[in-house]
Amino acid sequence: MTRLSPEQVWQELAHAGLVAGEAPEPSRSATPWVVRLMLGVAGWFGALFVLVFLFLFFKHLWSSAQLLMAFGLALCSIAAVCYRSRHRNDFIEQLGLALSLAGQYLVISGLLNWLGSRSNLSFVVVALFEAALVAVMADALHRTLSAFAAAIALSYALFLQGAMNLPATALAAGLVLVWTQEFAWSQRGALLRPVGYGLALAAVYIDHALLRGEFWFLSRPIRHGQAFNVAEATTATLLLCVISLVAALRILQREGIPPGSTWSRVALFASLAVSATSYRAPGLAVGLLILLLGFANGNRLLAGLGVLALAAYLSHYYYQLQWTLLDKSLVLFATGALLLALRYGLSKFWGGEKRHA
Amino acid sequence: MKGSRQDILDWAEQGRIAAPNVVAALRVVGTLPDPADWRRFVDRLLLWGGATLCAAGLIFFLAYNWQDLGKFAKFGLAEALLAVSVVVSFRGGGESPASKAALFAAALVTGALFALFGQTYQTGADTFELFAAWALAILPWALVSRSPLLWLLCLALGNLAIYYYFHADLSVIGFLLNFERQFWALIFFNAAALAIWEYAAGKFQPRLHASWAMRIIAAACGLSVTWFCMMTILSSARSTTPLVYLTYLAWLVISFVYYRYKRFDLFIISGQILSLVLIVATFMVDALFKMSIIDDAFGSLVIGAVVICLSAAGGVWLKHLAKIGGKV
Repeated sequence: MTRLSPEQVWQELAHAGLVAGEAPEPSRSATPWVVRLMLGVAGWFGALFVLVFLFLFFKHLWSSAQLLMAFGLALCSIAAVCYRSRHRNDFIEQLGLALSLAGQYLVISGLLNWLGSRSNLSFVVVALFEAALVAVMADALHRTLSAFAAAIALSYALFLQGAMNLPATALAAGLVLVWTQEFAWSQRGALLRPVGYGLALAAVYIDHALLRGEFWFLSRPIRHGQAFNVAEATTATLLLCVISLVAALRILQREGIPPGSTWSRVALFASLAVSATSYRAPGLAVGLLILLLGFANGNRLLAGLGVLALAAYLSHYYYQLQWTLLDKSLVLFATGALLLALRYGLSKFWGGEKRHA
Repeated sequence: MKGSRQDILDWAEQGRIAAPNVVAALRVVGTLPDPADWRRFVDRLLLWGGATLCAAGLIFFLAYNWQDLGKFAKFGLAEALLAVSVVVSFRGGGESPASKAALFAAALVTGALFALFGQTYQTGADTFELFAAWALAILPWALVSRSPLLWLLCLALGNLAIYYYFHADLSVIGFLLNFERQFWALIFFNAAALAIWEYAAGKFQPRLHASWAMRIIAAACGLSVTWFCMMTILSSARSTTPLVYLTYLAWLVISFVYYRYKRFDLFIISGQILSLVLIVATFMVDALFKMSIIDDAFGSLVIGAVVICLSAAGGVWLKHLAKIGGKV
């Protein structure tokens, strides 16, 4: 398939009456996601060495939680200045990322030491801190990482309150809000898209972390084998049904499909049916939702993250402690059979449509 | 013809396209799915999702080892599902999406059947034998179907078999003896798989030309060789140390030349840059900390600065490569 150059794209849009005037000058070239991934991992390693330096040079830093937080905030402030500097370039950005990651480690360590690492208040404060960084740090990679961290922290705050299913539902709500509004809020894209990617990455991570009861970034187990809470699971499932319906309705509306049509009915039924599996397997519906939103918005990276979220969930679902393997096998088999039955029904419907055409 | 989604979104952000026109603009340049794309997507999603979940359901069910169900019933269930999957696949002629999905489900069920056999008859087989037998059993299907997903499953099982083969001896001496051999085996297995795949895709099997699958194998190979080299740098020198460095260099040069000049792939080149940054940092850790050339604290700061500068320089160069689209 031939790919249009930006100038050709502009001409096509002008021809369709969607833009006017001369083609804009090429903006600062967008960084491909693979390069962002490389820079993110390298930035994390850079931060690790900065932390070792701080650990060896300021030995008393680790004796006080308040000192840790103050030092961490100072590093994050320097990073914010790097990102907003007039002399900003790739080297300054990478320096800002490494300093900020090191600073975040210090702030979060200080917070967990101060408020307690098993207190949900600690994680709410961490989530608020990371959300503030999303707003302050004017960089796509940093915003993605901070949104990811904020979502994880909030999920753990909910988890420590005994909620096993609500974190996935909360993530789904954020994902639907960001990605169904991507085009309507396109002028805020520099802020929204990284948040959307951060939430999708959090879904991939939470799927395995919550199932195995692993602790975020300190790698120690928290509460294994939480008791299943019927009221919480029911509320989370009902909310996820509503969220999936909203997502389906918004996509149908954008595609110009009337609410009473067969397509519309099938889509709404499938959304409800898949969401209902969240009662026992919350990651399935969230992974499918990310995949659907990615496809609907023509975003292959997001769709890929959806597939990754589904694969991560399935591979860790095996180890979930609250349900027996028999229960889980029934959920998987019933969902699989439902999807195959829906496909069979749709192929008959499409076959009928073709014959009448 | 297709335009760039990113261009449209950039212009919308700059206010050059009004927000209500963004969807229309994306449709004009063909980056949003049309009704035919939607049908294909829904069809594939339901098909692959359904087949995978049904196969996973069977694996979970057999792993539960339900005592109330006799062994013949369990074997009957697994074999019936295997037979249905194979029949559906062969009726589709191996070409239709349903045929491919059914064969993938059959490959998963084959593993469940092996596990059930070991569980029922207590064969005493090691874990690596299960994965090796599973990989060999589905190899003919992978050959016949030429499906990238099935080949990847085969290779993943091969990697697991190698890993468990060298972890069968749980003693400390066994671990130390097998540590090196395990990496050599993983590196050569994945490198050979990648080389054969690239050759086959280019020469006579265009269907195998799935860049996502090749990237996964390249990442597995790169990860093994980089990790092995890092461990070698940090451990005391052995007779094989120069060979490890040579292997790393050979991998870096050959894969760079191939993916830069023969078949451009930014993902793999980005991985090479990251690998190089890590190896340089590991050399510096070894030199500065072990030999105590400078104070440890400042040594860390120097290494951190080198990592930041090297990766940023790598990022600048990679963005340039992305812009020129791999042109030399």
